[in-house]
Amino acid sequence: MLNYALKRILTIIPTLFAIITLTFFLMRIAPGGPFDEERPLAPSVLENIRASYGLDKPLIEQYFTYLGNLLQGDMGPSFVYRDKRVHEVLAEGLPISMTLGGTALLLALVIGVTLGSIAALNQNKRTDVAIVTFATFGITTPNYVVAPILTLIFALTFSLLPATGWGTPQQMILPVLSLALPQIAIITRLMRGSMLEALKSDHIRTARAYGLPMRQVIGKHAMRSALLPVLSYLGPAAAALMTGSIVIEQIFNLPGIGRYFVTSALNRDYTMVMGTVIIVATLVLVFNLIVDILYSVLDPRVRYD
Amino acid sequence: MKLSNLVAFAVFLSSVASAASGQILYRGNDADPETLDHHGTSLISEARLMDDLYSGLVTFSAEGTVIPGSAERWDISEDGLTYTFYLRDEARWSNGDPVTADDFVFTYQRLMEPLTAAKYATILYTIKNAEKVNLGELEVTELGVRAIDDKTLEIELEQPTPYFLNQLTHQTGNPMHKKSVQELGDQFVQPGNLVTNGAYMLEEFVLNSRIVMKKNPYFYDAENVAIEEVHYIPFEDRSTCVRAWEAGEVHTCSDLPAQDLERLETYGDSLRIVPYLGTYYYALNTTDEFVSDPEVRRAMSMVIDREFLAEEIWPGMIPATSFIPPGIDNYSVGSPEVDYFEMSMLDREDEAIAIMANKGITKENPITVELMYNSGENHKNTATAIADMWSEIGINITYKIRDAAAHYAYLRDLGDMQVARAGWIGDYSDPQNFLFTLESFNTGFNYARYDNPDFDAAMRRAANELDMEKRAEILQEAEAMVMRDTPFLPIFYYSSFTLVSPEIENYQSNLMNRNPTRFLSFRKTS
Repeated sequence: MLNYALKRILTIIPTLFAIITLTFFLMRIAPGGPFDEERPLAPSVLENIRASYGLDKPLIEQYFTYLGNLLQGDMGPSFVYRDKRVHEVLAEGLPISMTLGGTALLLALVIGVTLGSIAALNQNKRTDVAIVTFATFGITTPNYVVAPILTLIFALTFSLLPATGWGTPQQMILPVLSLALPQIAIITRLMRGSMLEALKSDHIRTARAYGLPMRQVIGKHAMRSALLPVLSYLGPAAAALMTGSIVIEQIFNLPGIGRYFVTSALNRDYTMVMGTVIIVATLVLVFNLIVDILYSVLDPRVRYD
Repeated sequence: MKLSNLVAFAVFLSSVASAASGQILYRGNDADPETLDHHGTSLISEARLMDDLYSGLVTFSAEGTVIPGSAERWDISEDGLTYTFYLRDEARWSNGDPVTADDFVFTYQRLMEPLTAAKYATILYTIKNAEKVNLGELEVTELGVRAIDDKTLEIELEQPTPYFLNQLTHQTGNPMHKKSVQELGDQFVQPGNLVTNGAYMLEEFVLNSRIVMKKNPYFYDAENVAIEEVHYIPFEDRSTCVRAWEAGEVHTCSDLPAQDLERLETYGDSLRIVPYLGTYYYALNTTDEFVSDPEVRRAMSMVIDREFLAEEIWPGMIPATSFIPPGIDNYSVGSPEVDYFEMSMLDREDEAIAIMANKGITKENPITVELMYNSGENHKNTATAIADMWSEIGINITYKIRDAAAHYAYLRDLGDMQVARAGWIGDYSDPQNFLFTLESFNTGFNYARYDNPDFDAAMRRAANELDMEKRAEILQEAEAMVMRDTPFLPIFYYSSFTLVSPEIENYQSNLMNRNPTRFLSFRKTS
């Protein structure tokens, strides 16, 4: 097991390296640069700026400089936030995105698993129909519709919660709810399906035939196998949620890192694009590893040797 | 006590504490600054912060006009080439140091030093030797700026520049505290390090969250500064600022989404829609095989129904009949009148059809022209509407759409193009700041590749004319050439959209869209 984990961690390094290299060169193919704005810069000034960022050097030299700095934990200067290094900018926003995404995911997991199980146990009854309807609604209604509606109700109409900002627990409620809602819906549907499947499986039927109490059959045996599909979903979902959501961040004006995924590409903020790609790639690889390891814990048929 | 209660209690306590020491002004801003080193800034959102942090030689009044700043007065030599500024005795930095002429010399030298890579160094190329210093051809000490004594600053210019004072209102005209910049290097901008001479000083800067400024007790006019603390909150999304404003979380929003304007009218005087110093235009390539014909360009301009565009696509914007927006300083005579703007739309269309028919181009026998614009819903709607108008005179439009960076890089590099969307917001209030974008040698700005020796000559004459009336007439002549030749086809003048809480007093919306916090106050509640 430990051996397997180590092996996987070792494969993460070359994967990351390939992603970094590919992104670095692909990004430079895009036309335009970080200093092409509506207000043009005089050619002399542009030359000065390009030189100050080392953009006048051959691309391959820039690549090796970047790699060298990266190995020392320096992601380079941001082309847009000129007073900060990219890792400083990301370090300020990442904890916020992770708190927001992590809380939303946890909430979605607890509610989704509960609702999904209840629906499965009441298959085709009124409760089931209600839950499935709710889930369909949750999946089909995008964030950018839910979030302003929640703001309209709770912040603007009843003044119960703040409309924007970050820092107090109250300010977390609306963004977490908006972010969690579609996830609750997805997990509910996944859980309902897998629970139904599990209830029909041979080992559960055997357990019930032996007269084990229902609570034990579901809680201990059915739940374990029903959770597996949810678990596979959680890996990529965790990476996606924890790296922030540009929609939620914009609507609630949150200082997370979700915005950079879009703005850095539009601004040709080369170093920031690299930074965001590195973060997402690392999180995806790490969460997938965690999920694979958890799999072996939950499912006795899976063994890594 | 539970953790959440504890946090809520702490927030409550801090709000009580701040209320006790005076109300805080929350200002919604368009974006966070790229840097607080004003030599690295270029955006209006940054200029607003600089207005509060610094006081240049001259500065903006509450109405956006030029008034004395750190300099209480100045002399201009008869030939218009030498400005002598006399600094206020009471002008001080936020650490108590006096503001000296040497600080200004240092700052302007730093601005032109190639290694500083200042985006807007070009604005002050009017200072003697500035361009050569910025290109690395001369030492910074050769720059035409010197301190005669601690409180007297002399600036020599390349040529008489009647709009020099207007230029100095740009954030590049602000001083820096020489000692701290030299000692701290690029860390001088950090909170705790930044020394400023404006009405406010930097307290805190949390990226994408807030910039906190406190009143500078050493500011020369501190006794008339009412607001003790101001927070600038960046809003990437304009609608979010509107919601925050409606929830009472900010007092002002610096820009508003067009689709909300109608609904926001219910707020009466809080909604401010005022002309802004900028023009939205299409550049027509004067070297293109087809568009090079000035008559064709004229027909293309005539047939555009600007009222329709302003009403249907750009609510609040003003249909343009000139390239230079009205209300600009130093332009007493105003923009030249263009005959076809007096005609009805139907007559204009008939005449344009006739012009094109003369050249063998009709709706039945059209030619194809490529229109480029940067992506954006309203740019798309505008392009579609204009393409429809042009189809009447036999021009079929194909589109080339790029994101902003790619679009402007393409224009800058003079890639093949026929018609391209662009916009210009004045850096300072003078007609020269609009017309210079069409000077034949002005690569990087002159997207139309307009090359008219008469126009260039008029611009040179204007630059050397000290009589402001005569100069205005020459500039009008130059603009008349632009309107006749139509290298740029103006579509509408920009307006600024602001929400201002009724709690705020003396927020005077103006053409420059600049409202320093030092002039604002909270309305007294009785």
